[in-house]
Amino acid sequence: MDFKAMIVIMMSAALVNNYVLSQFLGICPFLGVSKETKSATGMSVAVIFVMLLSTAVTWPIQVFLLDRHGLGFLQIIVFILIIAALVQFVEIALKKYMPELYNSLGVFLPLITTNCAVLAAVILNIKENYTFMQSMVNALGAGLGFLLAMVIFSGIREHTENTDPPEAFKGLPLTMMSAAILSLSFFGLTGVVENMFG
Amino acid sequence: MNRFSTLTNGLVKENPVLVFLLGICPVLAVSTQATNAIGMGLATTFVLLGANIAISLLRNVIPDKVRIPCYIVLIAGFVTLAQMVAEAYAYPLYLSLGIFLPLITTNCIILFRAEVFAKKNTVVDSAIDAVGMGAGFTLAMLAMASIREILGNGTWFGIPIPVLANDNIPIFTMAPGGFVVFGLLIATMNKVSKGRAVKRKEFGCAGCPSAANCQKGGAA
Amino acid sequence: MNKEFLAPIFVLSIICLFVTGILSVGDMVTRPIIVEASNRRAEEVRQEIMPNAEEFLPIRSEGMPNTITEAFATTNNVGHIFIVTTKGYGGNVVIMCGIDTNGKIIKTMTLAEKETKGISTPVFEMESEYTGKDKNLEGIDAVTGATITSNAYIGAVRDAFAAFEIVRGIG
Repeated sequence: MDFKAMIVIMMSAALVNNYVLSQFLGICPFLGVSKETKSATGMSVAVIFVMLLSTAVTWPIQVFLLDRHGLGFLQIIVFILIIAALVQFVEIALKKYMPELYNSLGVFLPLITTNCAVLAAVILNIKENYTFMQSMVNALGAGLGFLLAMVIFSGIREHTENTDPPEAFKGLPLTMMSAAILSLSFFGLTGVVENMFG
Repeated sequence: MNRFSTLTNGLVKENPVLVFLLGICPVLAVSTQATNAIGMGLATTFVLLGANIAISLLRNVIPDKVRIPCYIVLIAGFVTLAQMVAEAYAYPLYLSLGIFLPLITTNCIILFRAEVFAKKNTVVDSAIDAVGMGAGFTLAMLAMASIREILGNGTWFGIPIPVLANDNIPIFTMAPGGFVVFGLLIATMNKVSKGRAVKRKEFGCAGCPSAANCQKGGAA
Repeated sequence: MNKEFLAPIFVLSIICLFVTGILSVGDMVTRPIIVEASNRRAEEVRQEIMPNAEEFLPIRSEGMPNTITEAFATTNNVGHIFIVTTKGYGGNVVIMCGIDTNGKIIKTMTLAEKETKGISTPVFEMESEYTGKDKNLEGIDAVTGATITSNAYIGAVRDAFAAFEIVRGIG
């Protein structure tokens, strides 16, 4: 078990190559949801869960089914259907066991299916030739990075609700500017992970 | 709605990116160079066209209950086709699009047009709509990419620009630059259309009109 | 209740089968082209590293360090080429290392890397310094601030030398 490699993978996916702020993945929900921290956190945890579950299912299917039978070209279809099914499953489970969370997430829960971050994570696991454990760690890192970006961002947006920007900048443009600054600040984390192990 | 307006709709008035704020991920990510933008636009238009035609053809056959999974399978099919063709016949494009080629599957624009147009219109109309929306998407990408490439790299389509080539500002081709340029672009759109462009308060996939229906099996 | 689900599932399955069929055809058509183009590109890179080589023969890599993914000998005994894959910071670092019959590096070339632009770039820019070095790699140091990437690269070159020793030992 190469723990060092796994930690580098996780920190890289979460911080330096943050899915949202540096790879531009998962932007749609990022902009739509993060108005209040509570729903942002709930949504992100759901995303982490779906990413982990999807990896756990897609990785074995790719390695033991698709690759073995030369069906690699079915990757996209199989993966997105698995994600869609898992999201449906999470929805049903939440509705039954955590109805308050289910209600607060509302329409954003089924939208996790079209969250490009989830599909990107499972495809990248395969592209990077990660082992099963490395894939799980990558998914965890990606999800945590998503959570980090969402939570910081909803905090910023809560504050900017009370500001009075020029008319043209109201809404999305202001969000974009804040995202730009946040993205820039994450650049500073680059050196940390590179040199973590001396 | 006559055929011509269907076509031009997607270009400005109902531009999927700049007005409906859909499909933002690839617009931000693949807009570092103008050539990439055109490539991505072409690939997405191809998938849009295929999906719209297929879904329109099958609109009376696909039961409502499973329509979203069916749409997803069809869309993913066309994306896979696009990927195969790119890898075999346009390798440089395939490389430059990277992970965003398979991610066309999750591009909200395609599902949006399927739900809002292809499901209810004839094949020919749906095809025209796809071309218009694809063109609008490509236009938005080209605008972003041009700004970012010119300012960030001093080139346009790879051709160096006399004065700017030596004094380029690389941050524009990086992540923060993407966010800034997009924000300014939207702000400009708002200003120019005097607020008419922003039709909804919510944005992104969340405000997508079909969001309430965007669930597998139509379960509530 | 069951009847309600039968028709939708049936349609979904038919669509899945149909799409799979179309994609199989697409795959059959494009796969040979993709493989052939990929081989051609690989051959071009090998020629670039060893322009004097007549022809490259793949050799088996058992006994070599397991980072060696491919190894080639040359028909006119110019040297050997090793393709080494090590774990870098952002992903795999894949380099091609050409070593001549005297155990000196002809050239190294990076085939793939996902390291941090700017910080790790010096590691790859100093590739030309490897030419002519033997397995002691005198004068090659890690780049400050890019430890992981440097170690990946240097480690890859060392593995290539280890593989070379094995090849030299055999023939």
